Amino acid sequence: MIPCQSCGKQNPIGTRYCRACGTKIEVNQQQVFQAVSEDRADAASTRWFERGRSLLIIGLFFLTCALVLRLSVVPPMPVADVPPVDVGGFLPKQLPQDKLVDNSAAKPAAKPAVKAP
Amino acid sequence: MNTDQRNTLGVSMLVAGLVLTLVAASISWSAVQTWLAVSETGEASDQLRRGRVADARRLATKAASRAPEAAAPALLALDPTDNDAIDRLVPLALRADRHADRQAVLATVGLARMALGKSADVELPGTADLRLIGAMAAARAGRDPGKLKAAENEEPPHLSVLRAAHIMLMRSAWEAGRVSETRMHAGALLLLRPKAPEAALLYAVVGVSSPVLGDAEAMQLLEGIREGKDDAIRAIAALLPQRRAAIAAKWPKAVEGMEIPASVAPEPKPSGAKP
Repeated sequence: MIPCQSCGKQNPIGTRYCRACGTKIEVNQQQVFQAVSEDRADAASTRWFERGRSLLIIGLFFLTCALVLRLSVVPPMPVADVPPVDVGGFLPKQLPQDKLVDNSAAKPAAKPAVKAP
Repeated sequence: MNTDQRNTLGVSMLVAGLVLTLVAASISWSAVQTWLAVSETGEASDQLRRGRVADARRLATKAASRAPEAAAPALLALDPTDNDAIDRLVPLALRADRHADRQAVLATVGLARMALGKSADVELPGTADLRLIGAMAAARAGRDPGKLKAAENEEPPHLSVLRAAHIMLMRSAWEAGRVSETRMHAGALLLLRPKAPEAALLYAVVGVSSPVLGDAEAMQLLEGIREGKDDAIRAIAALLPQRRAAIAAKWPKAVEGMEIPASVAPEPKPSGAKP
């Protein structure tokens, strides 16, 4: 940008008359070089700003998608259960003795009737 | 905003955007891994239900490698005969977020150690699992396991622990010749898994030991046993002298060396039963 010598308004490079006051703008080579380099720096910073803003928006979008996926879409891990453990077969390792020993055999014998005096 | 400020802000936003993208990628990767682990754990459970233990363990091992902090795949992947693998489960119980997971891990450790003939050495307060494991250890050592009763405010046992307890206590009662107790445990096992491969044997134990069933029907039940039929019939004949004559008529080898009583009085009814 080139400043107007009369009113100080910043005009784009290549402008022959001030856009504010109409004064003819006179420029020297140094002013042009300075203006061009300022414009380049400005454009570069604008590019960085826009790139940063775009990447930030993309990052936020990805983060939101990832959180939705993690918290809402992925099913929870099932509750753990005890797996079957082999404790040997169903059949006895040694056969019971030939004589039947039932639970009823362990019951106490009936008391003998007591005669009233 | 001048050029320098805009530059700084732009670079800051660029860095923040990059960090957010990396965090999002990491969360997504972890979510996908968890998803795959959940799916493989479910598949492993299905395989286990169908009796394909090797397939179930292979799938569960894959799931456990994807989600090493999860208890469910680690338990399904466990080889209960590997003592080191059992010991490695203990830290998992401490890290588990859910109470149910913690109890399942500790019950598995206790049951697996007991099955290897070791002390359970786990803390399971307020659950029936530890009492059942204690009863199994007593039965294994040849001591009286006592009666299995539910205590008040006690969490119910895990199905595998209950089933293992009934198997061990049935075997122990069978070896001691206690008919009623053997029948009771066989009935409980049938209720737990009525379509299991061993159901025919359990039906036979329950039916043949019942005094109500006639010899002809009892022999039909014995006929239905598929796995280890000869050994099973011999063990049933040893338990029930009153059936030996009928068994001898059909399977004479099963009662070899056993005394066949001419007539055996029926089992007396429990004292509380009405006539």
